[in-house]
Amino acid sequence: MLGDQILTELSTQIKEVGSEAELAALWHKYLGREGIIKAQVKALAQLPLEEKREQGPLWQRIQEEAQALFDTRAAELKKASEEATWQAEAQSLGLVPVKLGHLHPITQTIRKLNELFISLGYSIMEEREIETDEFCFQRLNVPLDHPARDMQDTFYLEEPNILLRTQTSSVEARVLANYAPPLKVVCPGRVYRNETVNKSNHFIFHHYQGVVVMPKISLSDLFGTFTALFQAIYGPEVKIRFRNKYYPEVEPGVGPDMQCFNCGGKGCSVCKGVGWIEMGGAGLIHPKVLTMAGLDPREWHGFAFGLGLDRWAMASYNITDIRTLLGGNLGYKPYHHENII
Amino acid sequence: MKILYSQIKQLIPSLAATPAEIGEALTMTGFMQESLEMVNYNGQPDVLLGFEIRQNRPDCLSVIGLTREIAAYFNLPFNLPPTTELTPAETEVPIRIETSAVRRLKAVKLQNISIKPSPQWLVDYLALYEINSINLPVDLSNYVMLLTGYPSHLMDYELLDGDTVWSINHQSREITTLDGTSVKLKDEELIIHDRHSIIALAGIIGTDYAPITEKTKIILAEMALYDPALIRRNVRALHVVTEASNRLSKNLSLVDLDYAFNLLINLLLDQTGGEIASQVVEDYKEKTEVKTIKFEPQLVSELGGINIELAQCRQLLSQLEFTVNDAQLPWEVTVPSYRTDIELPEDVVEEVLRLYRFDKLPSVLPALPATLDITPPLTKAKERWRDWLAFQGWDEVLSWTMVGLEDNALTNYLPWAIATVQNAINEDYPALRQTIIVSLIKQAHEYAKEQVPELKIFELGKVFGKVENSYQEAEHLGWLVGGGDRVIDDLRQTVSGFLAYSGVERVYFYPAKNIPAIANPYAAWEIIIGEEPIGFLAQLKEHYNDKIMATAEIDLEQLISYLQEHKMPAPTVEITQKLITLDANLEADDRRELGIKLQDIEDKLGRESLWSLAVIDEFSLPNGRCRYTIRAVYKELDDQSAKKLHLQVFGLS
Repeated sequence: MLGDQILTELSTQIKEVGSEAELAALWHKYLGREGIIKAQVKALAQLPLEEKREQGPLWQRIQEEAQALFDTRAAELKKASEEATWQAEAQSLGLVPVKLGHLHPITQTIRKLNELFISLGYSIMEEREIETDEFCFQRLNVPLDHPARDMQDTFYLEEPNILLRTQTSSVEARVLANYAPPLKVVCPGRVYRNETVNKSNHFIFHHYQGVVVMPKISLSDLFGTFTALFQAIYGPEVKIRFRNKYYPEVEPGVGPDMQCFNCGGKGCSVCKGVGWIEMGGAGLIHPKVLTMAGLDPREWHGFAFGLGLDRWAMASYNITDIRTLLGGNLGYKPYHHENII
Repeated sequence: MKILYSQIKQLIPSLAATPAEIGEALTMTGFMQESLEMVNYNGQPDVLLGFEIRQNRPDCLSVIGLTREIAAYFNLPFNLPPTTELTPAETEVPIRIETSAVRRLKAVKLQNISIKPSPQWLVDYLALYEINSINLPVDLSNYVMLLTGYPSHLMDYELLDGDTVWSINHQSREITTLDGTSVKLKDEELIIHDRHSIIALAGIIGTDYAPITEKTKIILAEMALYDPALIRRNVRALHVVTEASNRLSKNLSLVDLDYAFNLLINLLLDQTGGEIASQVVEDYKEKTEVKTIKFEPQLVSELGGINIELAQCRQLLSQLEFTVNDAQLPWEVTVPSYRTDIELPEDVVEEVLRLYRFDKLPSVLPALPATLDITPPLTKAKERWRDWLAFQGWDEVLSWTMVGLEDNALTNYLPWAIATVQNAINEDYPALRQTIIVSLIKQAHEYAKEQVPELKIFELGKVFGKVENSYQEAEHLGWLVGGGDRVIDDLRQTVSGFLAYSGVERVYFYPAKNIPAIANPYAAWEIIIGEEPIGFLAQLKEHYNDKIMATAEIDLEQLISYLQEHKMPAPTVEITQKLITLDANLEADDRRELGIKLQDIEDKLGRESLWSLAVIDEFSLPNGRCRYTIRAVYKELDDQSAKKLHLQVFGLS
């Protein structure tokens, strides 16, 4: 039949159509007012009634099947066009990796220690960096002209009273003065000493102070706390020893040492041949320090410890020059910890 | 302090410990071993041990002091070098003490002294301590200082003119010390002088006046202890540090000066063949009392965290030459004369425990009772902020808080003066930074030198200033970023996002009034929350690797205060009616005035009806003012009510 021939012809032509415009033209050619199929439908009007009844439904089917071919092809073209658009848009977006920032090694070191002490119920305190002689020295049992002042070269804003704190023990003095015991506090912070800057020393560095004031406390408690602290940083195998050392703000005073990580205690250049590395200072809070804070040393005891953070951070991040920590050559590799598309 | 192994053995003949064992023992009991050198001394191989001496143990700045510690540790008898009593002559020595800074002084005149070079053993011995040999009397004086810890001073008596006087200098004058150094005296120095000249900076160093030379026939030998605080002040003021000042600026025992003085005179007479030619002059006004401490021995166990038997406490104290009267509690513990550091029961506890050894004490993580969390809100917030910034792609830097004066002047936007350090070791950096921006720019310069391709850094830290003679400091957050045309918008978005994350509902950026020299004056804004400026945002004039640099800084302490006073209502709402958007024009001189007007409108609208308010267009008028198109979005209102309210609050009805 003619109608089927037309449909076959349309099927062939419609596959060759590549755009919506071409499809529209083809539709007009077949189904438009003057189209091939429409012309046949119009011609039915000239046929006798009998023939019209026979041919009418057939051409109705032809029309519907032709329209279905167009609809199918239109959907195919639309899908292809959308794919192309999405593809083009995706390409125009580029492949910029997501950048995440980084925290400074000192911040990360402080966080590790804070995590431990927060889990043990400690508070974290920070305080002023411009301090008075009273809180940096006198309340820590270091009166004016005390020999222990030789241990710390001080930057003065107004000598002798206004200075840059040389130790975070000043935070301890402030905490003892301002808060009622019992207390468990750690105090990370920046300290200053008037020293020449070189690969190993800086006049700005970072301390971590711990203070506990309780009705009863002993060296054994201090040692246990210190051991937990070292294990948190260096793992459970770390070897610590405690020896007597003088610090005016504590009595008895303690020097905690860690067995040299480099030589395992045999002696090397890192530990200067002694097998141990000094890791800070500690002790039971001196009765005079408690008294100056208005506490009765017969009722309250405490321990305090202080650590330098910079060397820990340097060891953890393989930094060999202390100046790097506060200098422009501390870099963060851009793709470290980043999602790369 | 260095000490020869052979000398330790000489003083403790029964000692069996090796040099390494001695080093370990002293390290654990408070004197960190610093060195162990194999040396040749007096024709024999020997070991020279070096120890760090605690600041409160000047008695151990001596061979005898350290050896006494070793004897105590190993519980062995210890022999002091013997001395004989001096036999003084009748003649008086013309000495005057005009200051209370002399706590104890002994002096004597020696005649018929033979000045000759020192024997080789003494020359070699002093060389171990890096002391040059001068002549026998002077070398013996130094030898006694090393042995006992007590410095002494020898003068050529025949060169002195009139009385030898100890007094405080109040004149500005210059002296030349024995080693040829010129020192300018200012005020308050303790000096020894005669009618003619200054003989010594007492307790520190002698001058070139009346030294002991080969022509010396009569020696005036003196040994004294002074006010250690004054010696320290003199040392600091004059920048002269000597072996003598290192000892005399600490609290040496007044009692034990007797032994050291006798030893010195005995050795001088013995080695130089002289004789005593005068009375022994002594000035010792405030005699030291024997110190006795009431001591509860159970305190040792309480503070040590381990049970130590009373007998062991007593034994350890007796090894340290403390005398214990344990007839009843509390014990009466008598402190050896040389232990000027022992004042309190806790000091006695330390003595027992250090000899017991700290490494024998248990190490137990204590289960301490819970305490109040006193962590300040700022400290907690800083950790959250750091994380937020890192997740936004910002890298944290920490930098020098001390900067140059000029750097501060170029970057400061805050109303405070520069705080400077009086004794900065590096003259290029005498000032404390007034902004974080100054540090970040320095970081950027370093990054540029290292050709780091991307700059996107922040720092949380202190800034400092001075307001009406009061030093102030505050915790600030600073950003510095290099980027393209949109870098300022991006940074403004970051700052707004940061403040919103912190809990600030509304942030305004008004053209800045105080614009530092480093900023582009046409692209500099004050960051406002509430009605107060909290920071600064600007494009910098300089570029980073051809990229535009933008910076911002906010005062975190101010932010925390604001947040504590202004709790942000929850932004979550249930939308029950469609939102209605209406525009209106407002005229204002600038964004600041506009901000005030908008604030007023917001207050009138209230939170119930307002969804958002935004500036969507800005148009400059011929009269110099600006017309701003404001888009208001209303909620919970029907069209008519919204329009009525809109006309009313914008003054359009």
